[in-house]
Amino acid sequence: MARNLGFLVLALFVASICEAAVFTPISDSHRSAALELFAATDGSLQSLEETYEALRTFEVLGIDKKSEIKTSTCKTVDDTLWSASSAPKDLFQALRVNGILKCDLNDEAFTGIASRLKDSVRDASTLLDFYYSISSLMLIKGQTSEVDVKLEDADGVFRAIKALSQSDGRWRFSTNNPESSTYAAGLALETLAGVISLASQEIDQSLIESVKKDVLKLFDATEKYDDGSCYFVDAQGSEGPISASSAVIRGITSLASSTSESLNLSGDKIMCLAKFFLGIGIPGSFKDLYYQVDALACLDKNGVSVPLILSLPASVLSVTQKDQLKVRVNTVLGSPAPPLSVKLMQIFTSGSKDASIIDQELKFDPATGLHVLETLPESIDIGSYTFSFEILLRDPEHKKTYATGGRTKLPVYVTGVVDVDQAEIIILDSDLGSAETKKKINVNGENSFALSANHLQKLRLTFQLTTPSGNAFKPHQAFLRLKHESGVEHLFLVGNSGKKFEIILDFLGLVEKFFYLSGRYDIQLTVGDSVMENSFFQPLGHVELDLPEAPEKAARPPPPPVDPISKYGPKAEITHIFRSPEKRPPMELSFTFLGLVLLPFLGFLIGLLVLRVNLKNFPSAALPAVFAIAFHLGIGAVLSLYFVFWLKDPFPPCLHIGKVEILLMNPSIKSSAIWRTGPVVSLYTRSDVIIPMEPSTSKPSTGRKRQREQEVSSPENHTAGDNLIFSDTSVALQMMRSQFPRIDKVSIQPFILRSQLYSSIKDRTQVDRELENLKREMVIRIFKLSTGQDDHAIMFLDDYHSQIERAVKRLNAKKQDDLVVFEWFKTHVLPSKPDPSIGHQELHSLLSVAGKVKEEHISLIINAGLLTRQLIDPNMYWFAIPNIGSILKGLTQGRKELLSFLNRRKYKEMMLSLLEKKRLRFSLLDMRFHLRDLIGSGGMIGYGEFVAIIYKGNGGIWMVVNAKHSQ
Amino acid sequence: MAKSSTAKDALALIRSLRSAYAATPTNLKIIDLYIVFAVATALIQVVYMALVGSFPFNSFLSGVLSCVGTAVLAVCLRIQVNKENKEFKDLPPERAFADFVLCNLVLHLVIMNFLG
Repeated sequence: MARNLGFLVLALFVASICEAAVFTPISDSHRSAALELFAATDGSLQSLEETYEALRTFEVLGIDKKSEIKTSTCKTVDDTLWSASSAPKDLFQALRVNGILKCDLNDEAFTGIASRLKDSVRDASTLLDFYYSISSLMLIKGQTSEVDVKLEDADGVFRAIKALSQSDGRWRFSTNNPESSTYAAGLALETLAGVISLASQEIDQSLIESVKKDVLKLFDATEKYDDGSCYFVDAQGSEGPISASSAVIRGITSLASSTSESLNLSGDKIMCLAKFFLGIGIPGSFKDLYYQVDALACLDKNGVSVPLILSLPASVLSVTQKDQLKVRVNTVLGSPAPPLSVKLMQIFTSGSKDASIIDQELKFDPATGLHVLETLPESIDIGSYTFSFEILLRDPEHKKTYATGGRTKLPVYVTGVVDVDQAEIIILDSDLGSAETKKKINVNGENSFALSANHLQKLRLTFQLTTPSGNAFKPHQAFLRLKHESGVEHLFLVGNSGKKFEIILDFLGLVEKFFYLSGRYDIQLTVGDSVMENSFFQPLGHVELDLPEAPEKAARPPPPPVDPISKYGPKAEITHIFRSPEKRPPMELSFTFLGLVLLPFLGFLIGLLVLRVNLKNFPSAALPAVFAIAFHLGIGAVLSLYFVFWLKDPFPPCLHIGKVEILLMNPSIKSSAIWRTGPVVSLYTRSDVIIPMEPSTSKPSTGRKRQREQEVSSPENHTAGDNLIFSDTSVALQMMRSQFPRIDKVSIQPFILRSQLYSSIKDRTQVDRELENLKREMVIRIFKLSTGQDDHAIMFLDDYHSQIERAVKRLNAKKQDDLVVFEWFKTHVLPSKPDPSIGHQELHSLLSVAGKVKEEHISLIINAGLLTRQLIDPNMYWFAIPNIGSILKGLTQGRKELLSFLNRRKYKEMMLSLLEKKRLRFSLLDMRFHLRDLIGSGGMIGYGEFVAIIYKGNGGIWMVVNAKHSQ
Repeated sequence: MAKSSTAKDALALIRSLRSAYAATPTNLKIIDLYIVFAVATALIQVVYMALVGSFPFNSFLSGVLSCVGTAVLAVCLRIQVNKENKEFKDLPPERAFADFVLCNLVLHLVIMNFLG
């Protein structure tokens, strides 16, 4: 029931928004909004202006906040007033605040200020100067009677201000500024009002008359809304409509009060401005709230005409509770209206144009201040209406001072309980129309019918709705809902003819719509309307439907609606399905058949024996014998060529029998470093025992970081070497160094490529950082390789030294004493220059530390292959590994060979274990070396048991099938 | 009665066939033997496929086609070499054999490629 009521309230709310022409006076909602907005500024007001706006708002709304800020603000006010340098604007703001706070100030201050202000009035040229000075004088006049604030040359000042007015009633801010604005007009009117009241002698009446004409002109330029409210727009757009309208209202009200004569403004104009300020509701900013409240306060007590606002305390009238129509008449700020009577003139039924004319006077209840219509007119049934009221002032004098705004139309909702009669649900036999089952529905109570029907029958639901006054009622909603147990729902609109509502569900025609779903359908009846107090939403029980089997082409029932929250939630995790490897027969079976295949051959040989085949006809003479042998050898050669061709692809699929060994490298390293993601911290000991720790995912990152910091902070551990925690990079370096291929042809110490490190450690940044550390600690050296790609070789420093020694030995120098330069190179250049390149000057100076260097010395080093000249800058050298040329050539060719080999495979992939057994023809390095290099540099991808090519050209597509993830 | 007579008839038929075949020249017999060998090998592979499965299919196809192909070529050779075959009277047997060898080479080149 609560749900129904909530629905009702919502419907009413929506309806009230649609007819937005409801204006209610300022109420408590404004007060709480003002307090909220004030609280949002933290109570600390930046300037006197803001303080005044807050104080004024609270004053009008009747909230006492003065005491809270009085002390501090009064001090500021005092300072401002006493300061000789205060501009008229500051004085004006301070005086405004003082006007509300009434601080203790002595009259001396006022006297001084008054004379200064008078001077500034005399010197003023712009409208704002006039405004601040004259308004300040007005404020002084209001706060003390001791000080003389009279203006001597009031006429002159008046004319000076009037000179700024435009023909359309607007004002300019200054003579230089040709643009006029409504906001300025408001300020000017207020200033002129001040001038009039400060004038020491009467202002020329003709001047006042001309200003009055200006005001009338100004009011011709109002913008109107459809709901009868109007406002001023500032042409310049510098001020919004709220502040502009507010300024104009302040101006005309002060003008009206100072001239004490009528401005000839019609009450309707004032009324429509009042409607504008009430219609904006509660503004979002404190400034707008101030303008609204200030303008309404000016309208509330003014000499022009006070608008009276007619409102309904309750726009929903319940017939059952015999609610009376009550009308409240207030001024805009909610203060009581003078004696008046309210007449109900017309009632419009919503949705139709016709109106009934009532012309009935409402009875005034002095106790509550409400005008009450005791009984609603006969013709009013439940529904929504628009009532039209008129305010009649009793005292004819009041007609001048109050604006009633003509007729006021207000929406009224009359609600009541609707009778639901003769509700029944019947199962009909299709052909005869005779009732088989008939159940009466108890609308107010529980229903749980258990009906059953087949597709040849019909279900009929009927009910009648009657309003309290006995008329037929047509609700907004009358639905029958059938919900299948699988969650499929069907909604039917219940049509009506007069009072009677009826729906017939012919199941024969509905089988398709029901998706041929037999089974239990829950029935639910919904009847609802915003004016129906007993809207209901009732389960009626269920019907067991027996529908025919679905034909082939029948539409499937829709999937159950997705929960909107889960729709944006995380999707199910994607799992990859890999092609399962083909089933292979047991080896015994395969070998048995191999034997069987050989059997016919055996039979063939035996058959030849039986036929006594011999080679007697084989030519015995020399020449024919040679030819015969050559013929047979030729055929044999062709066949063996075939065989070799077949062997070139050494792993035809038919040989993929048996268990495949997957290990590419040292098993523990492979499982920990290469194939897992994330860095792995390993324990390393001299005996090459590598204990992989848990993968990084299961470890808190802070712990890992701390561990790494330790590694970095204790570099001496690397050289000390025993049972210490090593970085991933140094572990991988050691491992790869030990697995460097043995090369017989070329004497070379093991080196490692940077890309190979990338293949085993995922975090490249970590690799680079740790390599840098190792380089600085003189454990390794990094060399730029001249392969044309960005290749870097890493060599342990000890290995490099021995490599240099070998190079030197081979050099066979003519002058033995020249060889000392290599010693200098080792001891002076290498330690002080860990970078991969060195300049000629620097090399020279580093070598000169040890002894006298000649150019021949340097060319000797270059000849030995320790340095190579850079192509770009001949004065720069790369450090190089001597004797590496043939290996580098093999490296590039081996890469090409490996890639082209994989390229020729059907799926561009191959099992690691099989690939590892293959030999590369053009490279001295082994397959493992190349595989690591290519995986690390991104040319290939290793995946489970397989490696595959990455196509960089084709948008990075790579393909791995046939692989079961090894983890 | 009828049974034994049929058996007898069959026996007589086979006997006459054997005696007639005995008159066939030896070189044709060798070719026949070769054909039987090739077809038998093909049959065994087919049986293997039926029992175990056709994976890897290209290897199976190569194996069977190699046997069948060479059997067909041998049949052709036999037709050409047969003295009683008047059609190829002018074709020397050496030429026929060379054809056979060449065709076999071409066939097996394809087979080797297809083998995988």
